[in-house]
Amino acid sequence: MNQSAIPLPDDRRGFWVRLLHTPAADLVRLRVTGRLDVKALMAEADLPEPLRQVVRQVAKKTRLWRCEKVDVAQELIDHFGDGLAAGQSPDGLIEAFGNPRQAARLIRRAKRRNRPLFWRVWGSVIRVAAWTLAAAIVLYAVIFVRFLWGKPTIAWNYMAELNAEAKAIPEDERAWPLYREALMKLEPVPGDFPTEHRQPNVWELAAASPDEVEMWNVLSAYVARNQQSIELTRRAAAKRRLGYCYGNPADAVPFPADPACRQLVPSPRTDNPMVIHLLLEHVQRLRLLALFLRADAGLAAEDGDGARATADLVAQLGICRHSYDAGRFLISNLVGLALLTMAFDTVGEILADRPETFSDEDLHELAHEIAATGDGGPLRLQWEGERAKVRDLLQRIYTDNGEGDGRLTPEGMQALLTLAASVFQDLGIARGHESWGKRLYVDLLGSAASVAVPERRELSRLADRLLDQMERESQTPLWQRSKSKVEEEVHPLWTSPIEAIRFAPVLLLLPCSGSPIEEAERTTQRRDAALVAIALELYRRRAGDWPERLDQLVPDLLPSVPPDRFDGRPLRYRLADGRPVVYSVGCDRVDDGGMPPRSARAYESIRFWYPTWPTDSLPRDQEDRGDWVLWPPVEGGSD
Amino acid sequence: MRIERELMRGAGPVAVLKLLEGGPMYGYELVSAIAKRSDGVLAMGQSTLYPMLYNLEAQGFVSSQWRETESGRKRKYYALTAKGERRLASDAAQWQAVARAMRDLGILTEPQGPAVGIEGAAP
Repeated sequence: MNQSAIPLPDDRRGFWVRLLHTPAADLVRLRVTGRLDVKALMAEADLPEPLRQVVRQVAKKTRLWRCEKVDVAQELIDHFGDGLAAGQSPDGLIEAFGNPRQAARLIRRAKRRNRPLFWRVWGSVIRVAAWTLAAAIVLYAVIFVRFLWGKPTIAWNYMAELNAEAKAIPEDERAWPLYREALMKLEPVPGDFPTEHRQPNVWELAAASPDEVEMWNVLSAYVARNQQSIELTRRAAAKRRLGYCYGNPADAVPFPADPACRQLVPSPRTDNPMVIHLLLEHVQRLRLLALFLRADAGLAAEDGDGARATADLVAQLGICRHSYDAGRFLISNLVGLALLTMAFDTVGEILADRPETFSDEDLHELAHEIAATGDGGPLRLQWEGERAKVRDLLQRIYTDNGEGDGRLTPEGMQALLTLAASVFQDLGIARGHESWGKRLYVDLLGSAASVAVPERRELSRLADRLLDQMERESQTPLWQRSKSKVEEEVHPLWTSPIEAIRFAPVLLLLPCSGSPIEEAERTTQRRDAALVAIALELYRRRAGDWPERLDQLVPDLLPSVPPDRFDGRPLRYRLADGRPVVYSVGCDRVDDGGMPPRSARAYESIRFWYPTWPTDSLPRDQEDRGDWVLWPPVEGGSD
Repeated sequence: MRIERELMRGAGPVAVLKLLEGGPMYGYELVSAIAKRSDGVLAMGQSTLYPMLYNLEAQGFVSSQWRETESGRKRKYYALTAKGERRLASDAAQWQAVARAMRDLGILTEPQGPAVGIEGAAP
């Protein structure tokens, strides 16, 4: 099309007006033609006003580029000019022209087809993108409404199950009322502490060791003044079951021993709280009482009172049993394991430093009670509480179709964000935000996430499979453990951002199973060592000297020599300067003849050793080499 | 007689191409020629003609050019392109086939003359 032939309007317009209506091609040639000015073109047209209006209306409604409008307008002007010249009236021409609006629409469509290929392709791309976006918006709106429509059905109440179990225990077999009374009778912590110490709270006082002489003295005096609580604790620990009820005001504990800690065992705010919100404050109280028992056992040993020391140690074992009983959560298991280790260490220390404290009967009683932990076998972890956490969360975040399946709900999304508050803090949607905008933000985010997050059945199966595997792995002795299948499956989920979000409801709640399982094995090792130490002392009393080998203790004093948890072979033993040393080959599984590691740091690492991969990846650090001396207690490295 | 829109949609372009076969024409000239040579049967409003011309141009069947007439007026002339000639031949053959079929069916009772000046469209 040759547009240069279009008549140009008379140039009575100003320079800038013409400049604005000059095509780039003319400007390149330094010509300010102003030929894209439709208004000027119309003004110049020699047509009656009605025809001019038709041309103006058509040109305007085409919404074409300016050069195209000018072309169309010029052609219509000429057309009507020809019609008038042929003797037709303006009205006749207007009638013959047809509907201007329809003409504009058809002209626009035809002219756009005549545009450059690039523009048409670009237009198609934009149209496809716009339709795709519109479809996505509609789809998202449907998902959003469906998401908002979802409501969880919270039918299962783990707290009620735990409470029903506790209430089923006969009152005279419940330990918690006695523990509660013991706690209530504890005196406030005295304020007259040595000047170099700040005022400790009751926890810091209870955890003092004999090495901290001044604090130990204060603790000794405190324990001596609170013998009534100690005795109540012993009686409570002898009970079969804990019998603690969540939310029961009668089980709440005022706590005069620590004025800063008035709000004790807070009652859940609802009848069916989330399992993860069930606080284990009462387990912490049990730990406090166990610490006082440990101190009292030490003081009894100093006084040569073996019966009292034995009673305290047996009571510690009872507290461990009750801690395990508290909800059957992994965390309460771990508290129980820590208290067991403390009790076994105390037995070992007294046997090493003041063996005469214990009578033969005391030692037999201790051996009987210690051997009974873990029902005589390796100490195991309980997974029921962890399963309850996952099951409870799923019922709160998903709808329930009655067949074990469902989809994410707004309440569920809020619960997940609360769980992941630390992760989402940067997004400003952490817990406690109640504004309308934040709620909408969470709902929009949740509806999008609901597409990615698997449905209830899939997550439930994943959780069940992983927890089953954890349980199986926890029953495998340390020396038979290989790489954790759980960690192999979970690690890729955590390291993939998409998978981490998809499986967040389960990943957020799954415990880290490796360390607890190893802690249970480590505690089993220390229990077995305590039994060997008691048997050695009894042998010495009978034979007048230490045995040459541990198998001399079998079967009179031990049913068998316990296995070293690191390699499955019998625990190692040797006499050093006429004194017995019971040891494990430790994490490197090399028998160094009972020599502890060279540095105190490594000794600490052995005492609190947590193997990463017991069978595959052994530490190669020189400082970690050496044996894990189990008894008598080793104060430091061989340096 | 007015022709139904759908029928006109098929007949209009071929009529325009046929007229342009005789040489370049401008819009008003085309409108007048179609009305005159079809005896008003294929007469179309300009609101139909110009979009049709622009479409034919977009398809490459016609080209346009502004020319100055002897009287000094400038007009946009449309001319048949080579592609347009091929299209015209194809369309004409189809119309002949349609006409034959219509006649065979008894819809056309006598051979159709060149009422719209589309010589060759009728047998």
